[in-house]
Amino acid sequence: MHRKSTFHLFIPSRRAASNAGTPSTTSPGNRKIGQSNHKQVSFPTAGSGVDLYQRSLRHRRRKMLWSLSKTSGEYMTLKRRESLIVLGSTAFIASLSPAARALSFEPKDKLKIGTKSQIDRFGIISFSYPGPTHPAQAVKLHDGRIVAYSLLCTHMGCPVSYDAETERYVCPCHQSAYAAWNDATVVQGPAPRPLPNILLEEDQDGNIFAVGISAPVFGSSTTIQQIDEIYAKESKL
Amino acid sequence: MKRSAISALVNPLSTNKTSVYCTSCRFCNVGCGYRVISGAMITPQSPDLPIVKLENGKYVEAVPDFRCPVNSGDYSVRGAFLTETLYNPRGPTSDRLAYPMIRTNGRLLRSSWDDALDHVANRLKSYIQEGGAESVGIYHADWFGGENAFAYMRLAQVLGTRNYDLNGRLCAASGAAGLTRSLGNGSHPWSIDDIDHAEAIVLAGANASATLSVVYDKIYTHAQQGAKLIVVDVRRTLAARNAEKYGVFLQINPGTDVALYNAMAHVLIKENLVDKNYISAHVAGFGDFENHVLSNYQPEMVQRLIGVPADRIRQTAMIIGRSKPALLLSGKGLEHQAHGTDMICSIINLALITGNMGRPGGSYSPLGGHQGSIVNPPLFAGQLGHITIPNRTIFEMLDQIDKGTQKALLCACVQPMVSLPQLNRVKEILSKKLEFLVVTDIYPNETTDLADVVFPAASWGEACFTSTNTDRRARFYELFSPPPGAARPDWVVPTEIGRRMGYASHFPWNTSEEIFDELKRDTPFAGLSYARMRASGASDFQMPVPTSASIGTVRLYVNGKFPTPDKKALLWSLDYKPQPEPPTAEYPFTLVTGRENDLWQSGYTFRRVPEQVARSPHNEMLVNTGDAQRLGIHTGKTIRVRTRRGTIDIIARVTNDVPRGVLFTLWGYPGSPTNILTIDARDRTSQTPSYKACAASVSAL
Ligand code: SF4
Ligand code: FES
Repeated sequence: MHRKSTFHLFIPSRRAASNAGTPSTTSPGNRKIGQSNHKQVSFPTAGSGVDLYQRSLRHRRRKMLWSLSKTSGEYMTLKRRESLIVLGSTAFIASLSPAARALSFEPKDKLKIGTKSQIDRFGIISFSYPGPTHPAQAVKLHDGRIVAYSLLCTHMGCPVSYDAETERYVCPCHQSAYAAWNDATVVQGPAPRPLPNILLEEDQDGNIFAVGISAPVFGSSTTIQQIDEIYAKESKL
Repeated sequence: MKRSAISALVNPLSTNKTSVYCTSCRFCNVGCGYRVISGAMITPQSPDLPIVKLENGKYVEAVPDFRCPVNSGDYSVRGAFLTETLYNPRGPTSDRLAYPMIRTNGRLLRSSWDDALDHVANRLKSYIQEGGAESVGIYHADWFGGENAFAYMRLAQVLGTRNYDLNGRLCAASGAAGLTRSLGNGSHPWSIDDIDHAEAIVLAGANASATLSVVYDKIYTHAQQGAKLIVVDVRRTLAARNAEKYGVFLQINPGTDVALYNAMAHVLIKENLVDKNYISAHVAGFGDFENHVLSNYQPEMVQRLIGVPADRIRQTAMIIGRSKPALLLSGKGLEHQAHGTDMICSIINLALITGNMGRPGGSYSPLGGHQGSIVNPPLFAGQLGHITIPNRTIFEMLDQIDKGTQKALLCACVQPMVSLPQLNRVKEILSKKLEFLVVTDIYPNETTDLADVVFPAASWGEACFTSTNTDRRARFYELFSPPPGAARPDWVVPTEIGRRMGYASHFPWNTSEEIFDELKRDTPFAGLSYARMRASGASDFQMPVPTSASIGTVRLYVNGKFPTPDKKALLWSLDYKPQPEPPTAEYPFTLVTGRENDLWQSGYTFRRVPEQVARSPHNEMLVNTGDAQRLGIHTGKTIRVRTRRGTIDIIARVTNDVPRGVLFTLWGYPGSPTNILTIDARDRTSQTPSYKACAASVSAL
C-alpha cells in the first residue's frame, strides 16, 4: 500500500506536465528586454527519461556561464583586462570568452505582468511565474534595465526580498544575497545557484510579458520535505 | 534492518533499485546529515543540488536530511556540491589519484600496491636499523576517520617512534588545551541545541557564517527571534553586521582577547553579576582571580589596548551577565594565536563565574574547524588525544629532519606544503633534507610533488568511517560509490606496512568495522557500533556513549562536577601578552588570515567545483580604506605583501571591514600560498601556530 503511494509521489508531475505543454512562442515584432543575450532551449527532465548526465552537463555548462558573468560582475571595479587575467588562472572557466555569456531560457506560457509605465512609476512589479504558486518580481535597476527573477531562494525556498539601494535580493532565512544587476548570481550565503531568471518581452503598446525561465524554480520537483516523509513512512514498515 | 527497508524504494521509471544511504557531510565541524540517493535512474529530489553520474553508471544526489537533528535539512554552499566532489572520470575530479606510484629517476611511475608497500616497508626497516625508530615519523589528519587514524596510531606504537602528530595541531589543539587546563577535559562541552535556549550568544573570534555555516544559520534565526548576538572580531564579518543589528559588535585590536575577557570579568564582579553559589560549589581559584582582574583590568585601563571604548566593554559584559543563560562560542580567532590557550582559558573564566557552564543554553565551547577522529575526541586526551600523548609535534619533526636525525615521514590526508607556517622553510626541509616521503592522498598536490611513494586513498562515499563533530556527535560515513582505480581506504596503508614489517598480530583487522570494534574498547563510546549508527540514520549519538543501552550525553558538566582532582573547574588569572611579532616601522601592518564560505581548507575540492571557484575567483588582501589611500592602493590592483619570511603578490580589496593597520587574507587559497608569510611562533602549551598575527608591509605595484 505504502509502496504504491510512493510510486505516485515519485513522479515529478508538475515539472513533467509543464514541459509537456506547448512552448509559447515569441511573436516576431516584440522586443525582449532585460537580459542582454539569450537563447531559448527546452530542458530535458529526468522524469521524461532523458539521460541524467546530459542534464547535469547542461546544468554545468549553464552554471559555468553564470559563473563567468558573476565573476566579471562582482568585481566590477576591476578593469576588464585585469579580471580576465585573474580568470586565466582558473582552468575551468578560462576557456570561455566573455562573449559566450548567455542564459538559456525554457519557454513557458506567456503571461502579462504589467506595463512599462507601471514599472517606470513603481520600480517593481510582483507576479507569479511560471505557475500560480511561484512568486516572481520584475524590477527596474538604476541603469534603467528591467530584470525579472523567481523569488524563491535556491537554498531552501524562502521568498527573497529586494533591497533597492544595493540592487540585491536578500533572503530573510539564511541571508543569501543575489546580485539583481548580474543575473541574480549569489554574492553571499548558502544558496548554491542564482535565482531563476525570467525572460521578459515588451510589445508595441508597452505591455510587459513573462515568456520563459532559465531554471526550474525551487520546489517544482518533488521537494526534499515530501521525499523525507516518504522515507519516514518507509522506515516504519 | 531499517536501512534495508529504506533502500527498497523503487523508482517507477525503472526496474532498478534506488538506494538511500544516511551519511554526513565531509566538510566542516557541523557534520550535517545527508541522504544520498543513488541508482541507475533516479528522480531529482531537489532542483538546485547537483546530480552526478558515477563511473558505474549510477546517478547520485545528496539531499540534506530533514530528520538529522544537526541540520534539519539545512546545508551550506560547501555541502551543496558534495556529489560533485565524487570521482568522475569525465568531470573536474578526473585527476584523482588512482594507482600507487613510486618515484623512479625523478618521476612518479605507476606501480602495484604490493610493490609500493614492500618498497616502503623495506625502506622503513633499513632506516630503523640504522638510526633507530626515531628516524621515522608519521603526520596525518585527525578528520579522515577514526579507523584510519587508529591504524596509523597503531603503526607509530609498534614502530616505537615518538615522531607522531595529527593536523589537529594546527586547528583544535589550543581549544583542547584550554579546556583541559580549566575544566580537566578537552571535549567540547556544548550541544548544538543550546542555541535554541540561549538568551545571548557570544561569537568570539569566530566567522561562523563562513566556517560553520549551518550552526550560524541557527544562531542567526535565534537572534532574529530576540536573542542578543555579541560578536568579537578584528574584521567586520557578516556575523558582525548582524551583531550590530541584534546585539553588539566589538571590533578589537588583534590578539587583545585576554585583556577583553578579563575586563569583562572585572565588570561582572563589580556589578555583582556573578553566580556566587555556583562559584563556591564548583569553581576553584576565585579569590586570586577576583584580585587579579579587579586591580589590573578596569575597562578604562585597557580600552586603548583593546581598541574598544570602556563603555561598550561594560555594556557588553552586562548583557552577558544579565542573560540567563548566555552561550559563549569561540573560533580560530582565539586558537590560531601564539597565546591561544590563555585566550581560551580567559573566555572560559567568564562562563564559569556567570554559572553558565553546563546549563541548557549556556555553555562555553570552541566551535572547531574540521571534524575530529573518533579515536581521539579530546575526551581522553590522557590516552590518545591531541595534547598529552607523549609525542613530538610536526614542528619538532621538521627540526629533526633539518638536523638529519629523522629520515622518513609518512603523511596521510595532510598538506604540509600549504598548511604549515613559514612555507619556504618547510619546502626547503621537505624537498632537500628529508630522504623518504610517503604520501597518501586523493589528489596530486604540492606535497605529492615531493613524495617518493604515493598511495591513492578512497575518500568520502568510497569508504566507511566515523568521526565526531563540534558537539561530540558521532558522524557515520557510508560507502556508496566505487573509488577510482586501485584506490583503497587510508587504513590499508599503515596496516599493510605494519604487517610487512613483521607486526601482523598487531593489525588483525580486515574491515573498518573491525578496526572500530577494536578501537572503541574501554573508551567512553564503547556503546557505539556501526549497526547502531546505521540504524539511527547516523545522527543521534553524542559522546560519551558508554554502553549499548546509552543514547549518549547531550551536554557535559550538567551537575557541575568536573573531571579534575577536586571536581572543581579552575579560574586562571592570566595577563595579556603582546603578539610574537609586533608591528614595526618596516613592517607596520598586522596580517590576519581566515576563511571564506566556499573555500574549504587548502581548497582541494574547491578547485574542482566551478561555481565555488566563481564565487571566490581569486584570493584577495583586504586593506583598510585609509591605509589604501595613503599607499595608493585600489581594489583590483596587485599589491606586494612582505613579511620577514617571504613575499607574495596578491590582488587588493579596499574596504572598511578591516581596521587601520590590519590586513586580511584567506589562509589556504589554492595557488596563493599565504603561509609563506605567516610566522612559526607557537602557543607554549598546545604548539598551535600563530596564523592570525604577524607583522607585514604592503606596497602598491
Ligand atoms: S555546514 Fe559544514 S557540515 Fe554542514 S553542509 Fe556545510 S560544510 Fe557540510
Ligand atoms: S532559504 Fe534563502 S538562504 Fe536559506
